[in-house]
Formats: sequence, structure tokens, C-alpha cells
Amino acid sequence: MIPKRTISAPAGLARFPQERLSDAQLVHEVASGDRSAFGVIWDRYGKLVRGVVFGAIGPDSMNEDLVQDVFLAFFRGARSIQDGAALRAYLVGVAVRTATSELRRRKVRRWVGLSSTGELPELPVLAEDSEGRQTLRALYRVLDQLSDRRRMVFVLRHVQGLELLEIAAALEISESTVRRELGKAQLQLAALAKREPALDEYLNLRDAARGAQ
Amino acid sequence: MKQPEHERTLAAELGALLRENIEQTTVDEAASRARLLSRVSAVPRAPRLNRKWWLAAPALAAAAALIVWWRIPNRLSYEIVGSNKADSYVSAPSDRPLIVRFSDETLVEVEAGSRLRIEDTTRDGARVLLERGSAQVHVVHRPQSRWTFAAGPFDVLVTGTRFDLHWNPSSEALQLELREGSVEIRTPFAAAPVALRGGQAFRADLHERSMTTSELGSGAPTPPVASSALPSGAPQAAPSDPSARAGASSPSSANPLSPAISGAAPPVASAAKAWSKLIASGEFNTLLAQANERGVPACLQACSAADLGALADAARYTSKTDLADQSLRALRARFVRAPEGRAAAFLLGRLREGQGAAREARTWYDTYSSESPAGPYAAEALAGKMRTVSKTDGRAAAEPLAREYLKRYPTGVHAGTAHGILADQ
Repeated sequence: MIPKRTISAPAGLARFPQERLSDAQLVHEVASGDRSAFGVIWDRYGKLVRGVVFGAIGPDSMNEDLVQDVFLAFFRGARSIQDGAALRAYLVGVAVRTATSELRRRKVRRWVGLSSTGELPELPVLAEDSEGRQTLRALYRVLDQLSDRRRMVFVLRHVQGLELLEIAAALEISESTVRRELGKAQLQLAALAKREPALDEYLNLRDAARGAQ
Repeated sequence: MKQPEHERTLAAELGALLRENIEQTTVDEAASRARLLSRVSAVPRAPRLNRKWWLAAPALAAAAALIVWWRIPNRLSYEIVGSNKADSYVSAPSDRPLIVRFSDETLVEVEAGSRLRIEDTTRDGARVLLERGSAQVHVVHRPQSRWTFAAGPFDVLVTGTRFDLHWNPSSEALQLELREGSVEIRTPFAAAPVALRGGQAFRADLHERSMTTSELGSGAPTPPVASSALPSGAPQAAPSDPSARAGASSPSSANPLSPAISGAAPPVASAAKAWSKLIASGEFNTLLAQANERGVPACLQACSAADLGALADAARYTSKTDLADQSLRALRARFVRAPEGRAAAFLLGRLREGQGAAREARTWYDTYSSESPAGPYAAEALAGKMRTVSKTDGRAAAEPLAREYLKRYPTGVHAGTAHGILADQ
């Protein structure tokens, strides 16, 4: 039995107990209007949601707004969530829908000429690494040729490392469809990557590095 | 076969490239968090009163009474017929439809197996999201009626009408048959909405990027509708092009979205569809009906591995566990070396686990892991073993499996369970 001690917790530790709450408890707290619980959920899943959005869309200054939109949608709908334990899957699902809508919006904007070229904006991360930037641009050009669903399957599996069942739930498709889409995405990526010199070179270098190990 | 492995590795390399880039992306976490919480604060929620608010209690009470007086008589209410609940989430069972009746007598019949969510109601209508399946809608027309039925990226704006709406999230296909009245459909394809009048049908396919209208009953297509504002890569019509607005009747020489799809709306389902396609489009009951017609025992003995796998999937998705069990066992007996046969071991494990037979489930998970150590269900099988060992032999016995899971899948969906097991030790 651990003896009880009274400790005056520093302000920075005040949220500690809430951070130990389960997802279901946090959802319940948020549904009751507790905004600090909402902050804990952001801390817990912000990186995951950001990964899905960034992975699907690519570097863009608007991405952080989309990530926030995902969490705002959760906040507004928290009261209607019936299974709080499935929060992670819920957020991934909302992130997928948000990213997919954005991708479609962008395609439409390209079609109707509201966006000049459809090219990616300048990349904030690799601004000084022109080679890396070219590789990344090439990769997103390749991804642009995949259907939205196939692109999301690739991102969720190979970028976020989600499992097939989780991907199926997020995309509201069956596991067998996920497997099929994943197989097709891999085939398509392999074929398309060969046509992008920067990407092809990057993959050859990786192959060589792996062979040298 | 070496080629699929090469492609898998290549995809993993590309995924790693993106992941590295995301990890390097500099985001001001603290500022982002603060901005989000600030935005959340602007979302009105029920406040907790503190002492100073009590001073304003009489005024607040009067204001609340005013709001109640103003809102309650006006905001539409609804009920699910035959149920004493009024959930905003309506999920019709697989064998019968549900009817939602709104207080203005608007009716929404949610077909068997379909799901919708009533996102919001106002005094003039509601916003209803059809998540999957079909709904028959009869909106009672009133001068200020404003109803929105959303499905995927489409919004159907209604003032008073009767129509059938179908949305398949798997194939991302929308179909609307308008019996009476008129609607406008906002699509992701065009800035201008598509106008539809009574007696017309509308179909949109996101995969094919096509939209078509046709006359109900005749099956004859009318030209593409407001999507005529869309470009085909050549110089584009402006979104404000009059032909793009209310344009159901203005002929167009070419479907700008998909010339090949500009004919009549294709049928929703085809009896000749392969079973794997039926699974992909969520038509589980159709598949089961076809299996019954063909004769299940005969199929278990003679169907291909792909068909048996599809049959097992359909049975699992409709909770027909006996049939799922038979199909999976047939796969094991007849195709143990095929991918479907190997996957059957894992699926049998999950079936048994769901039935509470943890030991038997564990055996199946073991079988799968030894047969397909890098298979598509490898992570799930390991997690299943971790859970079942924890259940049968205690959490301490599951500790090595939890460690192994976290080592191999540190961000896997069962990482929380694994951490929980380790935290208990």
C-alpha cells in the first residue's frame, strides 16, 4: 500500500491526471464541455492527424488549418460519439475525409483554372535541399495520378503505418478492398516512379545503400 | 514471386520518404494548440456558472425563457417510427427499413442496411447526412423550407419534393431519382449547382468523374447538366456560364468529365457481378442470396478460393458466423497454401475470439503467424495472440508478446493494449 502524500503540484503538472484518462473518458469529458480534456486529445492525436493530412496533401501552409478543422469537427460532434474508445479511428476517419475533400477541391480548382499550374507550393521544410525538394515534388506528382482512395490507402499504410482493419474502418471499405487497393497502389507507384527521374534516382540510391549494408 | 515484394518495398521506401518529410516539417505546436483552443472557446457550449453569474441569474433566466419560447416551437423535432428513441444517428438493420418522421410531417425512409445522421435541425428543415445506402425522402413543402441531404461530397438542396437517394461510399457513386418537385445538387465538380426537376434521375460517379441525368422510366439520358461548366483540359467555360446554371435542359456536345460515361446511368447492380466485386461494393446480402441459389454445400466443395473468401467475408459482415466458419474451414481444407487459405487461419482465430473461445482462437493465430510471418494480418495475429494469452494465462504471460508487438509495430492500433499490459507488470 502506497502511503498517501499531499503534494502541491506545480501548475505545469495540473493536467497530468487527465492525461491518464482513457479515450472514452476524454470523449465523455469533452462532450460535457470540458475544454482541457479536448487539449489532451489534441496532444494525444495531433501528430497522427497531422501525419494523415500532410501525407495526403503534401507540404502546404493550409495544412495546419485542416488539422484544426478535424479537431473542431470532433469537438462539435463529441456528444454524438457513441463509442469513445474508438476515438483514434474516429479522428483518422475525419482526417481522411477532410484530406480527401481538400484533394478534390484542389483538382476542381485546377480544372477550372483557379490554381495556376497545380504545382506544389514552395516547400517550407526542404527549401535549401533542392534535390530533396525535387524528389518530394516528383513523389506528389506520382501520387496525384492515383485515385483519392488509393492515395489514402497508401498514406495510411506506408506513411502512417496503420493496419488494414484500421484503414478499412477509416475509408469505410472492406479489408479485402483495402488489400486490393494497396496492391494496385504499389504496382502503380512502381510504374510511375520510373518515369520521374528524381524519384527513380532516389530509389536507386536507397537500393544501393541497402545493398551495401 | 519476387516482383510484388519489390513493389511493396518500393512503396515502403516512398512512404518513409514522406514520413521523414512530415517529421521534419516545422510546426509551432504551442501556437497551433493555443489557436485551436481559442477557436474552440468560440464554439458555444453550456457554461459552468460561477458566483458572479448568479448576480445575473434573473436576467439570464428571462433571456433563457425568451430563447426557449422562440426556439422550441420552431425547431423541427423528429422520431424514429416504432422506436422510443430520437437518436441523431439512424442505422437501419439489415432486414428492415426505418422511418424517420419529422414534426412537419417530412418522412425519410432509411432502407435496410443503410445509415444516416441527422446533423442539425432548424425551424425550416434539417441537414441530413446519408452515410451509406438508400433513403426515400418526402419533404413537405412549406414557404421557408430548407433541407439539405448530404452524401459524400454532394449536397442536395430541397424545398419540397419527393425523391430516392442512394450513396455508395465504396464506389463513391451517387444516384438520385426525383419523383416530384425540384432540387439543386452541389457537386465537387462545378461551382454552379446542378438543377434537377421532377421525373429526372441524376447519377454521379467520383471515380469516373462523371455526372449524367436521364428521364425516369425512359432510361434515356439527357445531356450532361451543369457540369458543362467544367473544363476538359482545354480552355474552360467560366463557372458563371449560363449553360452551367439550371442547365439540365441545355444540350452539350461532349461530357466534359468523362466522355465514355455520358450515356444512360448504368445499373446500380448487376447479377453477373463477380463475388469479389459484390464484396467491394458492399452487396453482401446479394452475394449470400446468390450463394444460396447456387447451393452452399456445393460451393463449399467446388467454389474457387476467391469465391470462398468472398463468401466468408459476406457471412462475417452480416454476422452469419456458422456460414463464415464453414467457408473458412473449406478454404483451409481445400486451399491451405493459397493466400485465401492462409488468411482463413487468422479469420478463424478472430471468429473464435469473438465467440469467447480464446484458446482455440490463439491456436489459429499461431497457425497464421507461423504460415505467414509477414502476411497482411501479421500485426493483427500477434495482437490477437497477445489478447488471448492475456485472457487465458494472465497479463503477465502476455508481457513478452506485448513487448514484441511494440517492437514490431510501435504505432500500431494495438499499441495502447500492449502498453497497458506492460504497465501492469
